[in-house]
Amino acid sequence: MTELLRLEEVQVVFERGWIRKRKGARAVSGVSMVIREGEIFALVGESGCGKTTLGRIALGLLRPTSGRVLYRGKDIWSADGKGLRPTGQMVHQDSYSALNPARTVYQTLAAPLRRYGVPRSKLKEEAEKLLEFVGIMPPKYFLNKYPYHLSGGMRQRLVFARSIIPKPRFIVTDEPVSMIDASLRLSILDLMLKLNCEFKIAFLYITHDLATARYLAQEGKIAVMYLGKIVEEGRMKEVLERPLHPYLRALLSAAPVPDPEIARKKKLLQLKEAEPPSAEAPPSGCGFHPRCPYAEGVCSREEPPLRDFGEGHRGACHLIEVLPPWRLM
Amino acid sequence: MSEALLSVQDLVVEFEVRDGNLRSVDHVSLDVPKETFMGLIGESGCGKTTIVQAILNLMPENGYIRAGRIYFDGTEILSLPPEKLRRIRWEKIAMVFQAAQNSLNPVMRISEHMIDTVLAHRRESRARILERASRLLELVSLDPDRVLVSYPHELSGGMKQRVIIALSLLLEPEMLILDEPTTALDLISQAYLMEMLQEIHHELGITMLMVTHDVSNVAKVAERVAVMYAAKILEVGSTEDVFYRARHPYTAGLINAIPSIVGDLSSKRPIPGLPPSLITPPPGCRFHPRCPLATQICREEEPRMEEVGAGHSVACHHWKKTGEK
Repeated sequence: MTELLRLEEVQVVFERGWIRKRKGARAVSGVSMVIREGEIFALVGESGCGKTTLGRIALGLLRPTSGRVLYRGKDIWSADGKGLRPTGQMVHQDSYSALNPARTVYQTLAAPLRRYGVPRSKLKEEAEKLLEFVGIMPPKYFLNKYPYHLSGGMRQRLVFARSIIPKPRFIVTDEPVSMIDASLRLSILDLMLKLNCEFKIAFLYITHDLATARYLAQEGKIAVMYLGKIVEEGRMKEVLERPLHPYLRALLSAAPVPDPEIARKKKLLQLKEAEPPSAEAPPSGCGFHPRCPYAEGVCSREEPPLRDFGEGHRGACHLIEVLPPWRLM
Repeated sequence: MSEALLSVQDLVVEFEVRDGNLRSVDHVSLDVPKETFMGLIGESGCGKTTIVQAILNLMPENGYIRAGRIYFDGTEILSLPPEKLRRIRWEKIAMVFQAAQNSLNPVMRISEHMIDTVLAHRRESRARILERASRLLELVSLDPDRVLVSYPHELSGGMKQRVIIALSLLLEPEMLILDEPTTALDLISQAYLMEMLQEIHHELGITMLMVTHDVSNVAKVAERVAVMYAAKILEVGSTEDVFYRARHPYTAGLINAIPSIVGDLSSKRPIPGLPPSLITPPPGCRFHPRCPLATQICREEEPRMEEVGAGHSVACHHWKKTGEK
């Protein structure tokens, strides 16, 4: 698979104050990652870890304070890459605020279809085709509905229908199913898999939910973010079977499981502190050390680099070699 | 099974909305046995929160309890005069609402919250209240010396949620009702909270009713589970019955629609279709438009709750077939 997007040592520092600017939180610090054509990449982390900021950087919506963003080998923020924008789209959590409430389903789709060269005479036909493709059936019935007529799942389908009009090479989805009813969540994930399969669209799936990440990116990759850094990444299957980093182990041990026997047997990894530290005053050394049950002296002094443990499975922890073997139960 | 501490019988609750009457709880009966940890699961809008609002008669302005009886420890509480019901609230049944973190008063220290809460119900010395508060804060793994003198903004979301739970236990209630207690908490804080609730349940023997849309959370902590769909309870049983021997196609479908970090994913499927409108619900069984087993009788006749095993009841015409697959 050829490389689509590459982030190199990307860093984002937000400023505070509007009269006298001061450096504030470091939302993303030194992240490198590669997304290939047609790949599904899950970016997992808890609120405030910088995963949404990283998604905006990947789309070229936010210029990193330092580091490079390469789209098909070209730096999108350099002089000769000027005007080059990755052909990406974004799908947010809240489909209601993503849609114009005064536009019908038809109008929502017709405007971008026109913009991307569909002749007026064919707009209706194309809009119906899109609706059918994303599972809004029967299309004719829905063309003149407004967003508030649609259920949450339907609205999210409409957002996906609109997002594929410019024929994007990748879509960044930020918690797209967290507002969708549990019985329907899989249907939206299945729609993403369909777009991936039919059009080879790559996905960056941003979420706090390991279970949906696993479902969507079974054959893809996962990166785990903590306090603005990637602490572990690799192929989904490998990473969930053999998690290296204590933070990912803690997340897995905390993830609820819809099976009473497993849920009761699962041992919660006891952290020294339940809450993550503030991103504005990150701890020294490894960002996880104040909470980590395994932390030693070196962890508070030195920042652990991401090290490769074979086949692209990388972890950023000083103690990976000496950690106890991983067991979920 | 021990006797019911809380018994909801044939409850009907309606909301008056612009488009008509929305029946949010439709002839629902539910028993919560003494000293049991019970989970009530359902998707958004199914009426699960309305049930707990009705239990304490805390309905929003446009909500009306149209019929039904609610017994707590043998006493019918819906017909009690407001003053008597007020005594039962918090003293006998405490409730933690959704996103309760935000219900703390920002200009009061936690210690003042504790004292205010007790003094609203009975006379007691401040020293004794604070002593009990300290013990409870320790029970929810907070440091009382630090937390009691704090203002709410000095605590994180997870800590505030634990303060609320300590507050709810302050009057030593017999029952604790929790409505989506993990909303707005990080994954790890959620897991700690669940573990803590389980400990409180075991240590104090307090009866719990937890309302949630998160099927996975219930799997770990609950002993019994009730499943709600479109204003009706469709299935009630032990957690094992509901998760491993579901007899209602909705229950089986819902559990099979939840992805997991372990196990096989290839058999996971969403439930086709959408939940019905509660203003114009479908006739017969409310799940029939989405049900793979639906036949003529499902479209015409509403199924009644039937006992299909010890402590396991289901409202489905075809419950025998559900288990066969």
